[in-house]
Amino acid sequence: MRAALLRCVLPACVTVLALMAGAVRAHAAPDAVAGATTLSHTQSVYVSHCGGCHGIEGISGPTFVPMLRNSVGSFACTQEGRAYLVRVPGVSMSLIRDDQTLADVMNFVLITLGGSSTPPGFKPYTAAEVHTWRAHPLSGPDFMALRAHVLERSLAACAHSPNKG
Amino acid sequence: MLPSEHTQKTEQGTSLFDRLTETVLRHFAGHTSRRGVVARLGGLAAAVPLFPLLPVSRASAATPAAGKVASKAPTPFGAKAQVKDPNACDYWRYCAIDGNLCTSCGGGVHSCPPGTAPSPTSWIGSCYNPQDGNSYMIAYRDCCGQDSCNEVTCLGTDGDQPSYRPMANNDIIWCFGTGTSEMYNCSTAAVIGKAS
Repeated sequence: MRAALLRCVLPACVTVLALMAGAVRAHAAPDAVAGATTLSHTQSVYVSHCGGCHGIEGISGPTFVPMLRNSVGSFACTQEGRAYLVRVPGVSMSLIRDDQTLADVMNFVLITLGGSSTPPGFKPYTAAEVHTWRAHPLSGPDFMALRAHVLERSLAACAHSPNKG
Repeated sequence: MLPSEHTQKTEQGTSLFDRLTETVLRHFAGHTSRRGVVARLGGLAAAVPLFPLLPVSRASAATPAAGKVASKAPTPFGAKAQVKDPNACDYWRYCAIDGNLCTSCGGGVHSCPPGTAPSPTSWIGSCYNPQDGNSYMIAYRDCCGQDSCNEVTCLGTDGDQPSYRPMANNDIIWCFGTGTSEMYNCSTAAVIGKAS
């Protein structure tokens, strides 16, 4: 009688353990797209709001769309240039309405995509800066001329920067 | 009075109640097995974790076991999407496509048909995959340079904004800037990565 009870209990324990192991395995479903890169939240926001034209990795190809990869940082050597990058219509009026999220995306663009063009002492954008600057979006008929002047002054500052050899 | 003195005193006066208790307990001890108690306790310990495995509680958790993930689709398109047929409009990657499917035009889900070239710019959306419950960023890139291929035309509107928000509107044809020709042929849907 007692032995019979033990014989019942032992398989029950084994079954419980087996079912538990099965339940744990079922939670980790394999990815439907094998080998897909996992994008951070900031990267996902960049890709969905900017990456279509500027390129998934900041390389826009042979279009009128400005290249970001290893070039956007050239604007960041002056305060005016830093503000310009936030005030351009695509950034200031973008559907990324949260200032902190936009600051994160801008820092991803400058630090990760800007690469060698970004000055070594680049100070990351803060939500407060983004908030102030995006309230004054750039507009006007001489946009390309303004862009050229901002870039010229920033490139000059980059060249004189003590951080850059 | 010391405690030991107290004990001595009570032991001397054995009452009827004490003798009765002793008899009952000895009788009980003589007719029960200690190992039987252990076996019953063991049985109880094994049975308690079994209760959540009964069909009643398993019914609510049955969906993950069937290979589907319980997390809910973020859009109506995602809730009805399938993962098998890339030639149908309800294929999961087409949640934000607006145009002809390249898969039905001699191309692939991420390759252009012969004689066309991919546009340099694309429209990017986020689609829910019902198989693993993740969302993926999808690039809808137009293939340009041949007449419109109108085999299967689809319109997915996940994340689509009205045309006064041109940067978030998928009605736009992205063929401008393509080396070959600006004629629109069809659209591809390539996975960029898993959204987190």
